[in-house]
Amino acid sequence: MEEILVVKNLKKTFKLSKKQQKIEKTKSDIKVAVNDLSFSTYKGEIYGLLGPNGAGKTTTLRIISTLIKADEGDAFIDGVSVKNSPDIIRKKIGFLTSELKLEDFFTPNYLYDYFSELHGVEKHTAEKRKNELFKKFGIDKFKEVKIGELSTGMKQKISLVISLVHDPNFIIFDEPTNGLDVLTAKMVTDFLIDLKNQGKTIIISTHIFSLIEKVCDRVGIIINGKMICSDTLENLTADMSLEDKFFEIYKQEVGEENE
Amino acid sequence: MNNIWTIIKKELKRIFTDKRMLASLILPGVLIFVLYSLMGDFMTSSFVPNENYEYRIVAINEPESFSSIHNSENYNIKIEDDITDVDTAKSMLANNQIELIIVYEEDFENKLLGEIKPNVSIYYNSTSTESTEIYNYYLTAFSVISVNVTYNFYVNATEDDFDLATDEDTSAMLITMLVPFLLLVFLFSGCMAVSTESIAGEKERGTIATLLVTPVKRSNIALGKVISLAIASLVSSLSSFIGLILSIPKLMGEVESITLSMYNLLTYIEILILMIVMVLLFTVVLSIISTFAKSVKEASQYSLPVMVIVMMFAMTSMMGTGASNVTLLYLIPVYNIVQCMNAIFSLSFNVVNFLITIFSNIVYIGIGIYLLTRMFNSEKIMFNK
Repeated sequence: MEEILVVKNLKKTFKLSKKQQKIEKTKSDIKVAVNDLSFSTYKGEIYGLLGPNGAGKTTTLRIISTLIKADEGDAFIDGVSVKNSPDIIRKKIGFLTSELKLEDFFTPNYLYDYFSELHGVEKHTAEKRKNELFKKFGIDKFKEVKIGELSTGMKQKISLVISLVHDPNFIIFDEPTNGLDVLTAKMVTDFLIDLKNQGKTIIISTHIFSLIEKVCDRVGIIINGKMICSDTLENLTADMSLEDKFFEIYKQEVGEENE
Repeated sequence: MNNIWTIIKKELKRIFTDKRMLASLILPGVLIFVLYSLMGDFMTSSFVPNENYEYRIVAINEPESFSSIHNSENYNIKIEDDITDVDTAKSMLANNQIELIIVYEEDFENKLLGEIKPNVSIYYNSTSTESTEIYNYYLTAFSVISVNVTYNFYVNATEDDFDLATDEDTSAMLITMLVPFLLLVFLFSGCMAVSTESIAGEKERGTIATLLVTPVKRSNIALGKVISLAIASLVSSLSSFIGLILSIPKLMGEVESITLSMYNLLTYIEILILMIVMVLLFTVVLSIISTFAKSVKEASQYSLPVMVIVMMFAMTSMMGTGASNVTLLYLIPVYNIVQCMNAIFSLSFNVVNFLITIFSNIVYIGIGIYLLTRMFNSEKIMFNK
């Protein structure tokens, strides 16, 4: 199988303020968010990064999407270094987050054109793709309605669509269903499967087991910034449910660290 | 009652344990103290005689016994003996070539002993700080002498106009005192309204990440933001400027002498150039603040002290002391623009100071944009949640 993303020995630390030290209950002014993290994803699969809050999932995805830089190690998409060629990487990837809240003032039509232009998509191609995506997601009826007047589900659909204006082959999705109502979460899940069927490679981060079970081909479990295991969903759930497997690993890991 | 107390405790805890909120509560008091102290200093300095200034006075028909009135410990007075014609002196006073004219009635000394009291006319120019200062000094001095039984006379008792300031000078003075201050406040408010939302808003909504993963260079994103904000702010400030200029005659009430005839197209172009530079500077500074802040609310809080500094500089135009002559001071951002506006409106435009102001501010804007670009590249700042 063809490797699309190769992550090699990523390390990322953050400086903690005194206030953060208090919250984290630590005397160290450095927090290791990601520590010697390595994994890879294959073409056309959905890879899930599973871990509790603060495990380093978002940091990993932000490094891969060029938003932040790793202290050590590197990631490669189609063999291109994230560290050395962020401009090339940005053309290849689509980055989505459920935290995204679009500006209420604009219409879906305007925002789609805006991001298409920023991604350098040709007008004719952009228009064709816009019509397809808008029709598919039922946005076409609301394309001239201001975002502020639309429902949460519709806003989320628009966020997804505008993040993919340039039709990227590699998609990074941070906490795709976090904080969404069941209907919108279902829509996002179906969308991920649809993208996979189109041959896209997707990496998601989540702490929701059901999402992983439903959409992912392979899973990486991250605890305290370390990749504890990376395997197919099939292998991980061979003798127990994903949830049980995760807590077994978690107990081992956290127990070992506490000892 | 217990519930009320519980709610009060919770609300007070929120207010008094949040450093930023606490600062916004205390800040007005600190700012009032700073502002009023500065205003006080300026006002005091305008009442204290300027020992280095030579006050040029024309005294016509002056009896010898009155010459001692010019002996002042506080003022450096020079009597212009060679001017004996009242009309020439008046014309000089109107052009700020002298500070005061004292005209005694003919045969003044003899008339003092007669039944009809003689008159002393004191002419001044209210648009000149020095002329007004020395006028007040002489008015007091003559009033003190006139109540003396031996020297019984009138001061400015005729229907003559003793203020020789021209309509243009009076208008220029009033406009100089008002317009730069109001203009700066409007400019800053206009910039603040759009700048805080633009970048801090994107950070707050999370859309900044979507923008930063596009192939667009971060320096281009920063520049695009600054230029668009500057255009929006400029429109807002232009509207304020036009409104202000049109409303000045109304603002001054029924004063018929208010006129804008002393200003020509060049004056407005000079002011427009200063406004563009000022708007760019404000936009860059506010964009830096907005980029640094985590939310729109935080950006507004951080902008407040900057606004006070701007207002402090803007207030220097209201002191009526004219534009500064010290060239080095024209390197101080904001202050230099206020002083240039002051000079333009008071018809004492200085091209060197104007150019220093423009170029120094362009340099500051350049440094600001460079800093902003660096900030856009800093993950610590862009994702400092």
